Formats: sequence, C-alpha cells, structure tokens
Amino acid sequence: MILDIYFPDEDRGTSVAEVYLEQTDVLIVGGGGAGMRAAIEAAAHGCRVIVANKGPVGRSGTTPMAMEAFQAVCSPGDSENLHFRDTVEGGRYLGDENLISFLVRDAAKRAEELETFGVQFKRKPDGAFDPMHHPGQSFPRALFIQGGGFAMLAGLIRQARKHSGIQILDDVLVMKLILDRAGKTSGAIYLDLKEGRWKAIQSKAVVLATGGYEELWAFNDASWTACGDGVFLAYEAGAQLVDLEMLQYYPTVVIHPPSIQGTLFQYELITHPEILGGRLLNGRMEPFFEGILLRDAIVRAIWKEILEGRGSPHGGVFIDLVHSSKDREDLTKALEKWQPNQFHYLKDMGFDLREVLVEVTPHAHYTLGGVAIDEKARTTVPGLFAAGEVAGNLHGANRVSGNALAETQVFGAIAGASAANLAEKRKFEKLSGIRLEMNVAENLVKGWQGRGNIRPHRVRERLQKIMWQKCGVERDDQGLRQGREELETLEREALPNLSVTDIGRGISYGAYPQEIQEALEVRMMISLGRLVLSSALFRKETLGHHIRTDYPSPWREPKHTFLSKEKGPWAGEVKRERTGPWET
Amino acid sequence: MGDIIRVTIQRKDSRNVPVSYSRTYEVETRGEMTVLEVLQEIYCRLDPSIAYRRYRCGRRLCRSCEVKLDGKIVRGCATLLHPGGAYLLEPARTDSLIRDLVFDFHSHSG
Repeated sequence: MILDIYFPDEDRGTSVAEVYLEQTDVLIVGGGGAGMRAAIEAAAHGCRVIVANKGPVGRSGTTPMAMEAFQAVCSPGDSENLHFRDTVEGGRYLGDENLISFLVRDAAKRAEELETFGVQFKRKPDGAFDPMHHPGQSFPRALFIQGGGFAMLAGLIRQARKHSGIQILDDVLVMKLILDRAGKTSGAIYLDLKEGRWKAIQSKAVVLATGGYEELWAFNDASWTACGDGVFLAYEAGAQLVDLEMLQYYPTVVIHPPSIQGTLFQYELITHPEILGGRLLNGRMEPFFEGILLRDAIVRAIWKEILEGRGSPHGGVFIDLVHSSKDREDLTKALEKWQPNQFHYLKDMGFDLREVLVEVTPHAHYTLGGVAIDEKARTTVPGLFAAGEVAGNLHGANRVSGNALAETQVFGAIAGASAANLAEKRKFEKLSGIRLEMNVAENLVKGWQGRGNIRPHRVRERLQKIMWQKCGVERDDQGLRQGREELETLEREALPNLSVTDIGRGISYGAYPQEIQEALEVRMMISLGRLVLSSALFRKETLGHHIRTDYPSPWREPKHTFLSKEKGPWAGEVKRERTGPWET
Repeated sequence: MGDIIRVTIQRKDSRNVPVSYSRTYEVETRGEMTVLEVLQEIYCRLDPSIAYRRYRCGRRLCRSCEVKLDGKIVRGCATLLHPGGAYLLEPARTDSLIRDLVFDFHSHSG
C-alpha cells in the first residue's frame, strides 16, 4: 500500500528527492464520530480507506468531549415528524430542511447500530431506551450514551479496526487538498508529525470530518485541536461555505480556576427539577430566569447579567447545587447517575458541587456553520464530501441537544457511502500537483525557520481575544470591522514573522514539531477568522446565537450566508423541499 | 510570593536516538498547577522545544496527557503540583516514544 514514488519529470527546485506517497480509495480527514462512521461505511462497500487524524485517534478532537445525548425518536407518541419540527424550530428556520429530513430518518437506526458496535445506551428495566427530556424536544428523545462521546467513539474505533481495509494514521496535519486537472479532489498533502515530514496521499474521494473551529474564540469548551482545519481545506479547494457566523455557545462552562476552565456541566441537568434540582444564580446570588430555556435564550439571559454588572467575580454566573431541591443522598445518586465523570473530576480538583458554587459562563461550543453539503454529503467541489460539525447547513441558527452526535453517525454513514460510490467509478491517474504543493508547504515553513521572532502561541492568543471581544456573544458593525482590521494586521505583520523551533535535519523537522504544527494552525485560524467576521458583518439581523446589537430583529425570512474563495458573502435560500425518500 | 514549582523532564529527541537527557525548569506560580498547566507554561515561557500532548478532554477520560510523575503514571490534566515542590516527569511509555513526553498510542490497544 505504501509507494515511494520518484517523479523525475517534476524534480525541479525541491529539497526532497522522493515524495512519500500512498494511494487509497477514500481518504477521510478526521477520526472522530463522523470520520470513523464514514470509514466503516466506505470499508463495508469494499473500499480501502485511510483515516488521517491530527492527534491520537479516540484521544483528540471533539467527539471524546461530547456529552451523553444522542437525539433519536424512541418513545410512544413521538415521531420523526416531531423530531423534524423540533429541529427546524430550534434552528430558527435556518436549517436545511432536506438535510434535517435525513437526520431524523436515520438517527434511530444509527443508534441501534452503535449498540451492535458495543456502545451502550441507558435503558429502562423493561429494555426500552431511557432518554432524557432536553429543552427543545417535544418528547424525551436524548438517548443517553453510557460514557458519552468518548465511549461512542471507542466503540466506533473498535468496529473500524475489524476492517482490514481501514488504515488509521495518528498525528497527521492535513495541509492542502490536491485537485486534478478537471478540478476533482484527488488526495492531500500532510505533515506526518511523528516523523516531522511532508507526505502525500492520492485518493479517489476525500471526506472531511474534522469537526469545528471553536478554538478561534478565547473561551471555548472544545479542544486545542478544533481549529477548523476542514473548513479551511474546503475553502482553499473552492468549496462553498455557509453561515460561518453561526456559533453556538454552551451556557454553563466553568470559567475559573484555570485548571478546570472549559469543563462543561450540563445546564439541562442542573436546572431539571427531577434530575439535579439546582439553579443558576447571578453574582448577587439571585435567580435570573424562569422556566426551561433553549440554549440561545439562556446564553442571552446570562450575558445580560454579566453586562449589567450582576456577574460573578470572574465574569460569569454560579451553578448552585448546594441548595438543590434534593437531599444530599439523592443529589449524590443523581450526580453519579447523570454526570459521573464531571462530578468526580471537579470534586478531585477541589470543587465538590454539593458543597461549593462554581462559576460558569457561555463558551464557544459548536460551530453551526461550515462547509455547505447536500443530502449525499457532497460539497460543491467534485470528489469532496463533508460530515459532522465541519458541515454547515444542517442545524441553522441554534442546535437542539443531541443532534450533534446523531449528525456524526447519520451523515458520516452517508458520506462514507457517497465517497465509496465515487471511488468505485474512478481510477488513479497521474497527478501533477503533488510536488508543487509540497514545495509550497516547505517554503512556507522555511520562511519561519530561524528568521521570525513571534511565537505562534502569542498570535493564537491574540486572535482568540480579538474573536471573543469583537465577534463574541454580542456583535455590532463597528466591532466586527475593527476585528477584521486587527486580523488583517495580524496576517500581514505577525504571520510572516512567526518563529518556529524544530530539532530536525535534512528532510525532517524532527519528531513531533509541535511549534511548526501550531504555526500552520495559526495560519489557518487567521484566514478562517476573517471569513467568520465577513459573514457576521453580512448578517445584519439577530437570529439564534447571532446577536447583533445594532440589528436586534430577525429578517423577515431566514437566509443562508454563503461565501467561497471566488465570491464574498451572499444571501441564499434555505432549502425547504425534501429530495430524499422520506416523506411526511 | 515568588513560589516556584521545580520540574525535571526526561527528554529524548526520538525513539531512534540512544541519548536521553534531562532538563530542569523552574515555573513561577501563585498556587497549585496541574501538570498540563506547568508544561504549557514551560512551552510558552521557558523552552519552546519541549514536546508534550496538549489535548485535554475536560473529563479526565482520554489519557492523552498521561505522564510518569515521580515514577507513577498520572493524568496531567487532573494531577496538581504544589508550590515549593520538585518533581520528575518522564514519558508514560518509552517503547513507542515519539519525542520527549509524547508517545504513540496507535501501537497499543490500551
């Protein structure tokens, strides 16, 4: 499977004599929930698959951090129609209804299939699913995965390892997609972090499953890895992006102290009178909202407290389980049952939720926008597919709890099948762009080696601060324009002067060139940040999580914000008609 | 005031080189810090050449940040180091070492 190919006709002006090139039918970028599900599907179609993951698979990315909820219809009286309606309304009518129809059609099937992969869901004594009832669901529909996203992904990885046709590459930063002369996606250039070397993969189809770009914002509950790699790769390849400004905040993420900052504690459980029986309190120890609110509404309520000077000492609000309506024994049982990992983690770090209040504030949680796809998970670039959070038009302006993990499985499977169908029809042809792209990558890094004086982590922090301050929970024209200018300055002045430390010799940067990885990520993040700001400027309305203080009302009709490399932002119709076999 | 956490890190440039060496760093702190925070501080302020895995799942589940602390394998995200203390950090696994504290999970099933 490994080919060391020498291209004598292309060997001009390069520092490497050989290009390390592998061939595979389907290349999947990202080994989280969507990527692994796509791999299993493509392999089941008989394809050879390479999964390229930026960290160790199962121990990086967003899926291992996901909560327990997987939304699928399972109760008597509930229906796919209701799941559909809840998702459309929850997304403030900005979600692509064709995509949503596929989500609700396949979600339950994919949950049951996960069980055959060894993933366990909470079930009642009679064997039926035991779902939670999350805000925005007209019936209890949040199937509870034992062990959360981490356990779900572990099951998928075990299943993927049963297929001999699936090869998993850990520690791989994909730098650029390669298109053939006809414009079809034909593989990628990547930095193998284990060896510190540039390598290439030629493939007949590529699936992007890289997750979101929450790491652009100073306060996020996603990981170090969530830089929007796939969105950037798709943009560079010419794909249409959609609704990049739509960032979902999670209302209750620990803000202080720094050692546990970013730990998410589910407000759906805290405020549920029958589950944890707790409250959220402002800095004056007063409750500040009533009833059960959707995520966008509760974020706005918390933000109002903070802005109007009623926040907690570190700029948030308090989770209060100390005064839970449950007695200590029942509360302990409920915490053990519903949030055991977070409960014990925080307790061992000195924050026993039964005894102390913990400060939380809204954090960037899920990027609703991303790469535009259709019901076959096709992007607008031939041969390029996208599934999971990297895709941008499924949820709309807000996401209902549990639809993210369901999305990874439904659209992961669809993308895997679509990629396999294309791969079956396509042959490998000689690619001419590999050497050129590799030179570009090498020269980019060479420009940083030994010359610059700005550490990439400084630029990353600066970018995150700009995005949080100018394109955070509340936005306006002036701030967004300032943010865009500041990012342009960063791109112009800081990016060419990055310093990178490496220990390499010859064609290798040395094993695990951590700072080179960070510099490459920062470059992507600045570029993506500018696109997010342009999109946020363009959407002159308040809808869902996009709050424009200068345009407080929604447009009469929801529209997508599209953009591509060729064209600036433009408004596009939200798809309402359903092309799939599913009928209401 | 002026509290220091002293950390000695066992380092190696790659699995294939025979030489390993140790470096000692002094991190200024105002209180307890997790191992991961200390490593981040070293990378950002003291030595950009240090390699460690920065990922944190936020629930102490993933073991991406596992290191050997004074001979015992711990999770870097959830293990606190105390001001005034002196500690030894080594890679949790050496048979699949990539560099410094970073090792390859893929060659193991655990």
